[in-house]
Amino acid sequence: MRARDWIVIGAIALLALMLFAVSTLGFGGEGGVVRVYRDGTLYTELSLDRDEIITVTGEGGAFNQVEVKNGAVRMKDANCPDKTCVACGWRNPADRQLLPDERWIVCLPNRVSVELPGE
Amino acid sequence: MKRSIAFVLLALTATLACIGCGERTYTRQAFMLDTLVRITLYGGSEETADACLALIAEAERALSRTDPESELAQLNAGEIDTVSAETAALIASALDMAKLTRGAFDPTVGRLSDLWNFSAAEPILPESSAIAEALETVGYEGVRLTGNRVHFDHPGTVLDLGGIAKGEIADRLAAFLQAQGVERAILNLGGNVLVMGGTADDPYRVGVQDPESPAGESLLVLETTQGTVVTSGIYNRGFEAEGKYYPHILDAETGYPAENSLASVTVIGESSRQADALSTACMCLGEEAGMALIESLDGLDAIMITRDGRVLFSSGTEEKYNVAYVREVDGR
Repeated sequence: MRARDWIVIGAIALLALMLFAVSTLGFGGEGGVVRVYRDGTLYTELSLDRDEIITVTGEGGAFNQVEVKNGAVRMKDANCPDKTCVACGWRNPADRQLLPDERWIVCLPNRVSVELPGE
Repeated sequence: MKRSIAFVLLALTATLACIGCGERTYTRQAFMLDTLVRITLYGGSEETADACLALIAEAERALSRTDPESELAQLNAGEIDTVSAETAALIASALDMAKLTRGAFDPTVGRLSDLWNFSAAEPILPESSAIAEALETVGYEGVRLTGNRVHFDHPGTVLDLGGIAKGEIADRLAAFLQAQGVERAILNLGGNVLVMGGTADDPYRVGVQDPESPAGESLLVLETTQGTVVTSGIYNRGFEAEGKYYPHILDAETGYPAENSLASVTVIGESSRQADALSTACMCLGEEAGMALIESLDGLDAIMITRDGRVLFSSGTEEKYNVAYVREVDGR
């Protein structure tokens, strides 16, 4: 074994470790990424680590406000008729009791959906 | 010696990298079938996932009652009397389910559905005379299917496959995925969930919605490895008129929304088409007759939630699906 072999092996090991880290932890840092979709296509991604409020606008003056705060997500406001999305309240992806379906906050009338990161 | 250590190190890191890779997951979501459709494939390809959405879009185009261009709308309007083999098979299946449930599920309620128009922005209470008139066209016995040809004994009959179409589409998707070699998948078509390829060690968890929750949270969670879970409930759609709530599930007998103690019925089984029709039928039959029907059928189970918050299980269901309450609920 030469020093060069060890460098190659070391490089492969490092690459593997990085691959592992990326695939299991994802790119989104500690908190993960909240995906906001409009009409089924990705509109924007929000980091759970940063508190912010964004507004998704659609046809005919439709709007939905998505808020991230302290690692939790909610539909802050919307001008849909049923407000089911707003009624969902805060959802925290770290809540282990959260069912797969509850990782989604959906506004059917405005066709906006918010996906919380999985466990 | 050094060499073997190096190999061990390499093998270890390779394993580590592979744990992360695993099987590729393909997800799709789209607003279709009046709901948010979500598809998760463990395996397959981007093309397979896209093909799933295309399959749904195609089925929706054929089976929509409200799109005048659809095959079903043309049949209902009397413009055509012969339908595609797929649609004919679905009509045959709908008629079978109607017979099995003695009309509690009845695909001929289309005129009533038009009249009540629950999907309108502001639905209005129909005149009783209009309901009586529409009832003249209702009755599954009056539909004759010869090959792909459909004949209505009662002129003006309108087929509404809304109570079975989502289940049918879920079954078609499952068959398509199987043919594509995709063994594990979750198909969520609103109230219709179909899962494939779970294992006893790692079952799928499916929620049963709390009818009282305005946010649509789950009251119960069940575990299943393979099959379908379909829920019909009074909370999905409905309207209030003259101080009374009218849920969207129509009773083919009376022409009015079903009025009984039930808030929702969840049917668990193999065929999503069958479970879909049965959940609607049970909503019309009520808790006793509905449960008796489920008990009489092999391979089907049901969970019913009443308007006053009781939860009823067909025999063995709680154990079979390891049903649990999601959270502590006051007063339950």
